[in-house]
Amino acid sequence: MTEPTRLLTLPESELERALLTAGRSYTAPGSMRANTLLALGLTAAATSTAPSASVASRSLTKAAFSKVAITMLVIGAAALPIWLYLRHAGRSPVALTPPANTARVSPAPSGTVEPVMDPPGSVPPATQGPSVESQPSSPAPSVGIPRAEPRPASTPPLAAELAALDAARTSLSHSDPSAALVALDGYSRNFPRGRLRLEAEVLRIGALAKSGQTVAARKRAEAFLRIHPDSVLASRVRSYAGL
Amino acid sequence: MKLVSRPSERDTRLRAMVDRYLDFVARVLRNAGTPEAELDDDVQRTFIAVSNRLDDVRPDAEKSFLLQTALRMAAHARRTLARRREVHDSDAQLRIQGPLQPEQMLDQKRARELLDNVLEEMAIELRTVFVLYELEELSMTEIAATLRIPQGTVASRLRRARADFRDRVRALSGSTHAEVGS
Repeated sequence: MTEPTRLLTLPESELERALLTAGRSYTAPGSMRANTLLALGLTAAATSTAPSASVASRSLTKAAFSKVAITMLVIGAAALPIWLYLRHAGRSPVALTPPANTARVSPAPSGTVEPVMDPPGSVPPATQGPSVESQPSSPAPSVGIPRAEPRPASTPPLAAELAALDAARTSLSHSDPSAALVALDGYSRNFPRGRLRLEAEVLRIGALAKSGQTVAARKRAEAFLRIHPDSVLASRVRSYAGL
Repeated sequence: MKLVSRPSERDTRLRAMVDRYLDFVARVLRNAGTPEAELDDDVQRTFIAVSNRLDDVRPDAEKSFLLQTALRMAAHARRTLARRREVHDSDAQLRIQGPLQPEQMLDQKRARELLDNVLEEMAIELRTVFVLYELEELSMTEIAATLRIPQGTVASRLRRARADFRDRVRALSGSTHAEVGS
């Protein structure tokens, strides 16, 4: 079957040429690539306004992580004698093992619940009482050693967080939402203030939806969208929850 | 202990798809009727949909899969738009009431707005074939496979779509000559 010559090859007017050219030359705005990668959980550049975006970067090289690991080892080595001394002196090194969330819990405003800081194994947000601030802006109160590192020096937190979420994402992509939920529970347990908690919450919504817990997924999605209506992750949340 | 998980093949593939087809997906969505304001979301939804089915998509069928998904997204966007038509009252101001001045014709942004208006007036089955053939430069065989319709139907729709498009453009420019050639 012969195909007709395309109109732009022989336009009958300048207007026709302009319209067809406009249709062919449309290109995606600059921010669209970053937003799309982020929505896919692939993410890219850090931004100060999106906690998940700022830390979900996989563009960090192994060299960068190695530097982080070395730095933390040095800090850990320096802190260890001080911690032992304080322990010996009977003082509690509070900053080394802060109780999860205690400094940040506040009454829930009008019944809303921050969906990204749920304790492990928690039920959907609507059934919970307290909420936790979504933005980690204020430092946790510290007593004793102010610069103590809360995590083991041998585990770069960001890498570990990424690994935990990768496990959940992989399970989800292999149609195993139950395993994804287990991985996400582990993430919440190990990183109660994780910097990728928004991403974790989005994955949890996806896992709940895929496992047939659509009501729970929807509740969490609605809570997420209430608190983060303009998040770049919002469209993904809507897609998962069918909103 | 493994400090950094290597990007999986899946992630690498997804990233490559975004790099390769982002403009294509955005353009198809836009030309097929997704409003500019919703384009970002629909592009994301398209890639998420493909991501969810990635294991089912052959590497040589990625573009086709994205195209079909984008067309479905655009159809959904058009239905949504149709349900809230009143929102588009403001768009009426963009519509052309008479022949255009030359400088208006050459303005790229204006051309985009005019193209939106022309495409929006076309019947959807004609619009889709027109967009795929004239703007995406797909072959008629590819269009038939994508839309799952016979090639004869593609040819028929394309002929009518081109005539319809030219009629509408002539009406915009005030021109009255020439028939659609083939």
